Amino acid sequence: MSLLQASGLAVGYRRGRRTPLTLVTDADLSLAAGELVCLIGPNGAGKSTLLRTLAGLQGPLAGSVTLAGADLHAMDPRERARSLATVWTDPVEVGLLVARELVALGRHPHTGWSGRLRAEDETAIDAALAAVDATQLAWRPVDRLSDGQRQKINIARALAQEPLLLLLDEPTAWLDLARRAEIMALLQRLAREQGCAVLLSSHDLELALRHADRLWLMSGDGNLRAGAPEDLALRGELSAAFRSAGLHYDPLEGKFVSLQPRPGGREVALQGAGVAASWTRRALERGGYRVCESGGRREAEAEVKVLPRGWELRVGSSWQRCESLESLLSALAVAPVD
Amino acid sequence: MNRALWRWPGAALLPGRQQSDPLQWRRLRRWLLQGGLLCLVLSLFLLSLMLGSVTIPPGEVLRALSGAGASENAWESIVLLIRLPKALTATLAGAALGVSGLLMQTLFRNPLAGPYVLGISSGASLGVALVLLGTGGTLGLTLLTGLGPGGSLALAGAAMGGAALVLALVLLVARAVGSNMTLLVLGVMLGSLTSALVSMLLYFSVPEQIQAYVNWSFGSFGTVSWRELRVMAPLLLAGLTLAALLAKPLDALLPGEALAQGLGLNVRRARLQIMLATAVLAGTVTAFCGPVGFLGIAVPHLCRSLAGTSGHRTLLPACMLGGAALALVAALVAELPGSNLVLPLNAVMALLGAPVVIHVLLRRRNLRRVFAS
Repeated sequence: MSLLQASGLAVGYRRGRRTPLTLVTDADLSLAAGELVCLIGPNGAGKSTLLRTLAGLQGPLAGSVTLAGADLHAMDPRERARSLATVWTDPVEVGLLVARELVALGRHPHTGWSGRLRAEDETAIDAALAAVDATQLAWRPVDRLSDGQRQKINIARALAQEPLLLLLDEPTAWLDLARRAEIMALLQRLAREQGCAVLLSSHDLELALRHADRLWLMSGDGNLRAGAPEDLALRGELSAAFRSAGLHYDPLEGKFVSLQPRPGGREVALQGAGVAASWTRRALERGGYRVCESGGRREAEAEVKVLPRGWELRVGSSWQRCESLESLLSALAVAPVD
Repeated sequence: MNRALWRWPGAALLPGRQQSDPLQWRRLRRWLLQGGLLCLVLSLFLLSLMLGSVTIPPGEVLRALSGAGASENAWESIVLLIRLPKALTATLAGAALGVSGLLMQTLFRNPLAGPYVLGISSGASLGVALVLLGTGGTLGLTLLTGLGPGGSLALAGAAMGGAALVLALVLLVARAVGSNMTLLVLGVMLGSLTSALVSMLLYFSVPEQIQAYVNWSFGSFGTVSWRELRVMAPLLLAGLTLAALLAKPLDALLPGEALAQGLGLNVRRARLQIMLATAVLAGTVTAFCGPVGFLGIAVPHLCRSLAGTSGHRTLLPACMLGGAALALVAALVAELPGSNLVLPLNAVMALLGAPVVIHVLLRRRNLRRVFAS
């Protein structure tokens, strides 16, 4: 039984008298409890707009959205906040609050007019902090937390609302790689353990592929395809969605590679093996050189030998030693071209 | 878990409790702060009944208050007819300005916001200027001497009219405007507009009228007698009550409007309520006491530093008490006890308060933490 159900959904902006700007047309979507879904797509495809629509902050252009059987956009905002919680990209600035007070804000849709916390509210706050492994941060001022810790507290705030559905707009955008992986793993665990549905948008395709139960793929042409990440990758839909000048999705590696054949790039022969050779190849490619194997039919103008310590560079007939890839690249750059 | 909310907060002082239960510890700290501020306000209140051009011993003050009659008739009328209404005015006006400053700083998420950012005091100034400067002098000069029957009530009425006009404009626009920042700029613009009109009026006035207007703009708690207090006190109490009911929406607004909406808050309605409370508080104070500046901006900063939290269930009562205390001190000092001189209230307030605020902000260095820029 799906928790969130959208049928014939069109999303976009009304622009006064002009025709509305439509970002998604005729989408049929569903989210089930306990499921982690990643919304991915290039910039400008309308990920945030779709999330805002599903959060009830803006109305759909067409179609309807139901949350646990009730019309999402006709719901009382307070009631909606009890079943749907959101975390947005921007870092939350709340002034002088300790983490626990920020999490306590999540109890607002449950408390009375005065906002007084009852014993059950305190229990829910403690549970939310424990769920994101942040119990030890409870009495730390929010502004003294790192970005990653703060995002955890934000997620705890959302959990304190005791929602059925958790919407997150690029929750990892400000974080370093390790923290991103941590937050994604946390969200996956929350979906499994708390049984709520989690929908997040992300730019990080690799993490999305690894953690999401399903992907919602927006290609920017108004279509939204849903499916298991692996299916979308195999069918070539991922690479189609992200196709743009000079970028190519490599289905074997599961990542994007840049295809920038620099016109006039010089040929450099590379001799060597192992990790050092592979990083040397990367450096040369980044520098705009075409790398070929050493010992080809025609001798290349320049040649690089990977040594146990350092590199040897031959340009024309003169050899020189380089201590780092940086100095190798600059030596190549100033070498005379015949 | 059994965390009784009504438990005596001193329980947290029992050995070993502070560390183990920070919740109780914070609750105790809140109680200590409010209790300390309340004692401060009460003692300042008593002090302002004792001190002035003549010093009256505390026993005599209490006798006069209790109706037992002071040993000198003059003392009794000084306490009951002059100092008591003045102290009550300072207490109420200080509380009102402190709270309305807090409301505006939270609504606009801006450390420079104060009770007057909506252009309310400028509107009141325009009303007063129109009466003092635009009435051909006779009425204005009567008001200057302060002897005209119903004079200060008429002045207050004019100020209220001007403030209400500006408020109506701002509220009207607020219904249509989505962003708080636009509102802030709008308030500043309206303020400039009305100030320009006042300048025009001043330019074409005679020196006596200008003097009367300038005197009004110095601010004073002494012009309010029992008759005015009967109008002012209910208005301010209503405004303070409305503000006290807004703790929850104010807390929800701390992380910004988008999140407040996600928490189920009707942002538009909350904004109107906050602005209405501010307008009633700041408008009433300006009408009866003149544009008393500084206090509204300073008190929220001082209270946040003292309380160490932005939570409004703590800050609202703290700003009421802190504002009242600061207003009482300023009124006392402006009186120059023991002399017949009275200094302009606004100047005294800024001279006393600014160094304190600067000291607190520099010592705590938390302005940036409160209002991340």
